[in-house]
This record gives sequence, C-alpha cells and structure tokens, in this order.
Amino acid sequence: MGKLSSILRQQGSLDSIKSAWDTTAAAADNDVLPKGEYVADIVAGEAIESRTKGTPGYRLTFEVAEGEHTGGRFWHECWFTEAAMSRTKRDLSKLGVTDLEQLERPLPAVFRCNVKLAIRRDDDGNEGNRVRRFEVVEVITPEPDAFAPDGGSENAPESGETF
Amino acid sequence: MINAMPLGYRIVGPCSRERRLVDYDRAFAAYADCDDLAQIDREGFLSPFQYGDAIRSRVVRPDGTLDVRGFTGPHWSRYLWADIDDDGNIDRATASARRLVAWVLERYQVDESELLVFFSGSKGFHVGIPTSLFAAASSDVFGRVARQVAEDIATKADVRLDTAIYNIVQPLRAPNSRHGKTGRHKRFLTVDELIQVRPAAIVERSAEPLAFDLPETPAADERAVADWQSACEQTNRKTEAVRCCDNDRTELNLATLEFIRDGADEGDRHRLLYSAAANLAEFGCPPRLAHALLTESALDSGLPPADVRRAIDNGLSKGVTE
Repeated sequence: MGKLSSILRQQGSLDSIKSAWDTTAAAADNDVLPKGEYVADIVAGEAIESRTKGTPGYRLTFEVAEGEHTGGRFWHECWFTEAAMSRTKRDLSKLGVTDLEQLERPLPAVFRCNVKLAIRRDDDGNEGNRVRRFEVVEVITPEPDAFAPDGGSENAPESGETF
Repeated sequence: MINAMPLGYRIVGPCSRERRLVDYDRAFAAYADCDDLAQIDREGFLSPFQYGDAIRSRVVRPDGTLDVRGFTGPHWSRYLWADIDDDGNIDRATASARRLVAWVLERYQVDESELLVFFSGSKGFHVGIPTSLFAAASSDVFGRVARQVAEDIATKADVRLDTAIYNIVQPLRAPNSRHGKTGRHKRFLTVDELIQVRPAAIVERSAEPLAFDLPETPAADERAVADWQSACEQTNRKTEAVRCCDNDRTELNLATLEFIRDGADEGDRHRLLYSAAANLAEFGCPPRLAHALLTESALDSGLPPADVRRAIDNGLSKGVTE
C-alpha cells in the first residue's frame, strides 16, 4: 500500500487534487444553531409572504451577539392572520410597533434580546430553528461604518428616531 | 483631482449583511493596507462601483445603512474587474487569469505594476484593469459598458468570466478580507507571481493577507479608449433594442422562456432572473404571476429565496419603467 501523495504524483494529479483540497470548504452539517438561550440582536425586519399560501407576515432577523455562535443568524416570522394576530402584536410591540405603518420603514435601531431558541424537525427530517420567546433587553443605536463619509444624508432618519 | 464618485458601500460579514455608506477610496486603501479598521480577519465586501450623492438617497438608518435595491444612478469604478472562476478548477482559473493579463499587457500601454491581481481566497481570481486607460467617465450605464469591454477582452483572451460583478450593486469581496468558507484571504499577487507560481502555492499563500501599495494611475491609451467607445455604442444599441420591445410585442424573449424551463448557471442567475422579470413586466404580467412563473426555476438554480424575490421585484420595476 503506497502513500497517497506517491499515487497522485504518479498519476500527475497531485497539484490539482491538492489545490482542490485546499480550496474546497468542508461541508457543514447544517446551519442550524443548537437549542438554548442566546443573547442576540434583531438587526433587520422585512415584510414577507409565505411561499405556500402567500400569507403576509413580518420576518425578524436575529444575529447572535455573544458566545461561540457569535455572528450566527436565525429568523422569527410574525404572521398577519386572525389566528396568529395576538402573538404577532405581542412580539412586535416589544419593538415599539403600535401601528402597521411603522413596518413600512426599516427598524430604527438594533434590539438586543435574550432569546430562547428551539429546533424543529419536519416530516422530511429537515431541521430549523424556532424562536420560543424573546425579550428585548437593550435598544442600541447602530454606529456608522469606520469609513463613513463626512456629512450625513438629508434622507437618513434622524439619529434617535424611533418607530 | 476631485472624485465626483467618492461613495460606496461596505459589508462586514457575509454578503447578506447590511450595506453601509462609506468613503470608498478610504475603505479600499484600508483593506489594501491591512488596517485594523478594515477588520480583515472577517469577511468583507465593497460595492463593485463608486457612486455620487445619488446613493445618499438610499440611506435608511442613521448609521448609514443603505437599501440599494433597484438603484440605477450614475456609477464608476477605478478598475475594470474581471472575475475568473472556471467552475472552481483552480488550475484552469490560473491559466485563464494568466492569459487575460498577458492579453491586456500586450494590447494596452499599461505596466504590469499598474494592474491589480488577486487570488479570491477560494477558487478564482479578480483582475483589475485601471479604467483611466479607457478614459471611462461615470454614467448610468457604466457597469454595462464595463461588462461589454470585459467580455470583449475575455473573448479575445479565450477566458470565461463571471459577469455578476457588473451589476450596479453586486458586492465584491474586499482585498485581504477573509473568505467565510475557506478561511483564506483575498490576496494580492504581483503579475510575476501569477505567471510563475504554481496554483497550489498561490492557494497556500492566501492563508495570510498581504498589504500592498495602490498602483499608479496610467494615462489613457488610444486602443483602450477606442475599445470603450465601441462598447458604449454596442451597449446603446442593445438598450435601444430593449426599448423597441413595446406593446406590439407578442413573444417573450427566448432567454425568459429558457430561464423558466431550465433556470441558469452560477454567475448568470441574478442577471437572467432580473431580465426575465423585466421581460414579463413588459407584457403587463402581474407581480404574483411573475413570481409564480420564475421562483421555482430560480430556487432550483441555487439562488436563496430572498435573492429571488429581490431580483424579480427589481426586474418588474425595471420592466414597468422602460
């Protein structure tokens, strides 16, 4: 039994195999975060429609702010249906949303939250995260980029403007 | 000389993250210099072009977060970028990058030190040709002309390009930033390194970033100016042809039908999806129907749902206004 490098060298493919090895990312098991409690920021919110029935909703994007999964993202959908409306109002009110019109504008700040995250598995075995509950613990005014140009924008919302 | 297009955006982290308004030259120089502020240990992207004050109208938060969807204003770039991937085959991509660089050096009055060449940190190369050679001015169609010039060069050099980077707001990996999947850096290469170093060794070198000096700006070159002019004319003809697609049309573009049937390959997916949506809009296609017609093929082509929705919406807006 020879060494792999010897075999590849004999085949003239050592360089290309080595390059492929070096430039190929290992397949991730999945992008699902482990269940547990996280400190995460709500960094974005956007209007959505469900793919199957076109149900209108609003999706919150959470980004883990502390710990080994820092930077990891998960999402929480709030649906505008009769059945879900009370939960949707409960969740959005945590962000100061009292009127649907407020959702026409981007979130005015970053909302740092304590989040309890679970994992749901569907009939096909696909796994995904589910936000069990979240509580806003701090409202953070985001900082401009380190290379932001001098001078603001007439169109930018005033700093500190809220919903 | 005052740069009329000083602004750009920057993304820290994966390219799905927020785009924030920056002074483009300062940001680019910081990445080149491996400045701490650039955070080169993280993924980082810059806008593919620079913009004027028009982009400020897209600021949606006090921190300079931008919503660039559908932006079609004036833009410009200091470099004409060529993105060479060759389906992830590093040996072929290296050979292609070498051919392209050799062709450019042969055709135009440009010194090899005035080009910017990078290994992407994954499987390909980004080659930057200074647009001062072409005397290229900012415009609403700069990206389309740039694409035409790049494609002409690529055809003559027998190189296949990824053309997604010519979309006005498509993020482009920042120099020296770390690639999210490989952990390697988008590393600067001298032309000598590109030509002489084995592909595997180029990959190895990208384990570490490398600070580099920004090249001198070469003077305009007669041939390059003529090439840009020719591309401008071709772009204008294509634009006119699209405008001729008026209410008398009875047939969808072949590309639209092909997209619905077969989807598209990486590199062309966003563009073809956007074009297909614009084409459907020319026929007065309702948004819901357009999404229903295009979404499955787009998802099967590997685009994430958010990208699919955005490209279709942008295409529909474009088709309605044309």
